Amino acid sequence: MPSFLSARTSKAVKLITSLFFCYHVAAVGAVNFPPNTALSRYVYRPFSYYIALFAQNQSWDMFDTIPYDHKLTIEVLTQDAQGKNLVLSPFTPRLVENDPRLSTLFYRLYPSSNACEECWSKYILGMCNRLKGEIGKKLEINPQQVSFSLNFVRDQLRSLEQIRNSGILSDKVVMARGPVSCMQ
Amino acid sequence: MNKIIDKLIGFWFRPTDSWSYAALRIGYALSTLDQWQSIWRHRLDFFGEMASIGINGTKMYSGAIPSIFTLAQSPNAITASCIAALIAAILLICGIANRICAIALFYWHYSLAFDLFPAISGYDMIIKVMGFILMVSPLGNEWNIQRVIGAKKSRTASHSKVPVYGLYLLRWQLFVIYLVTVWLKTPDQYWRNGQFLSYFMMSLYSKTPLPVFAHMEAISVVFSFGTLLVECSIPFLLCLRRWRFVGLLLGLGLHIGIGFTTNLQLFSLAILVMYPAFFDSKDLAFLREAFTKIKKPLAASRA
Repeated sequence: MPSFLSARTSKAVKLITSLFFCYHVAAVGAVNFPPNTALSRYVYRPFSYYIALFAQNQSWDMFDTIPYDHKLTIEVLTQDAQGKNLVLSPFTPRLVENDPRLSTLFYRLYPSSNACEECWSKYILGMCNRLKGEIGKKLEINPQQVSFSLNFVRDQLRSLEQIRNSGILSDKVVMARGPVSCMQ
Repeated sequence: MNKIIDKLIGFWFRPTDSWSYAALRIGYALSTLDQWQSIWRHRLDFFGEMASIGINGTKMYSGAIPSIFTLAQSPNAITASCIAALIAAILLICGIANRICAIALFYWHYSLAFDLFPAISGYDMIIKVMGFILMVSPLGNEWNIQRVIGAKKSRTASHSKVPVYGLYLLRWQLFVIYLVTVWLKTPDQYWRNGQFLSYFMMSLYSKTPLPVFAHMEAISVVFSFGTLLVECSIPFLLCLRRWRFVGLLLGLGLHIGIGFTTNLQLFSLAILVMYPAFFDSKDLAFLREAFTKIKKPLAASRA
């Protein structure tokens, strides 16, 4: 404590700080309280503003079930001004394969995922800006007719028994989101 | 009432050695650097005018203040923000301007929470919550560059005492991380039948995703159940002085094992750097004594 504070003030400051720490401990516990109980919203309510304000939301569900894929490849499909099909990386510079951060991102953009519709809208905006900008110029994409699809090429793991019997790890599953026109 | 207040204050403000905070500070900065390098090469895709991700400007944004990337939109501003975060992390490792760097880095992590979504992972959250606690903790003056330079001139170093509250907050946070993750795993059929590890080692997270792991189901059962047992034991073992080093060894084994066999090294680092919150000067003294006991017979046998 700063030495210019009187003993009484110092004690008061320590008390308030101590109460804040108790509140923070309770908040961390509350935000991890199971969400699907009858008590959940009552437990969470006193802390919701504090948690949101300081971005203290936390979710520790990493690997609460198996990863379903042996490999995940993401492709942006578009066309140049001559109609030739182009297959691009969804990010520049070139996507690093098996980067866990980027697989997290694209699982949340996956067609059947309800994780974040705003995220998909944001992705469309960013990709359209890219295709209409410098990258589009290099690839000779017509900026008046830009559209793209996002392809999710999953090497989906087979069951252990299937792998033991066949020696083959996975089956290819391709899902697409789009096509999306950048002129909207 | 006064007694209760004194006990409460005494609990949170009990004096402790500051070296634990120094270890936490350095570990936090190192994990921030590891996280930073994973973001750096895609920074113009992640942030600013050309961003493909982020929830800034959407109804999902709930922050108190604008994120740095709301203010830094152009490519040069984004690059400058990232370099500022890099400098703050390096200064924090060196123990220079600790408080300012801790605040700056928390602002960086706070901004990432919004601007990096949905590319944000568990290890980003671990570093972020640790950063918040360290931002409000006494960081002490141990293990900094001035001491390293000064140690050459003087053998005596003063070890300051600081309040323990930051360590308690981090211990609680680690408890929550481990126990909640076990709680969420145990209902899953693959954890329950012990097949989790076989699938995991053949997945996109593994460094060696080979079909041979499908033939190692018995080993998978041992390691899957072992993982759950270790994860729910670690926080309790770390709390008990007698078992603290057992908890440390189990944690090191688990997370270094994950780091070596998968591409999730950042996760391992982010968790392990929280462990110093459980250790104090008595544990350090125990370690020194143990090393001295090992060293003496070795020196004698050489002589």
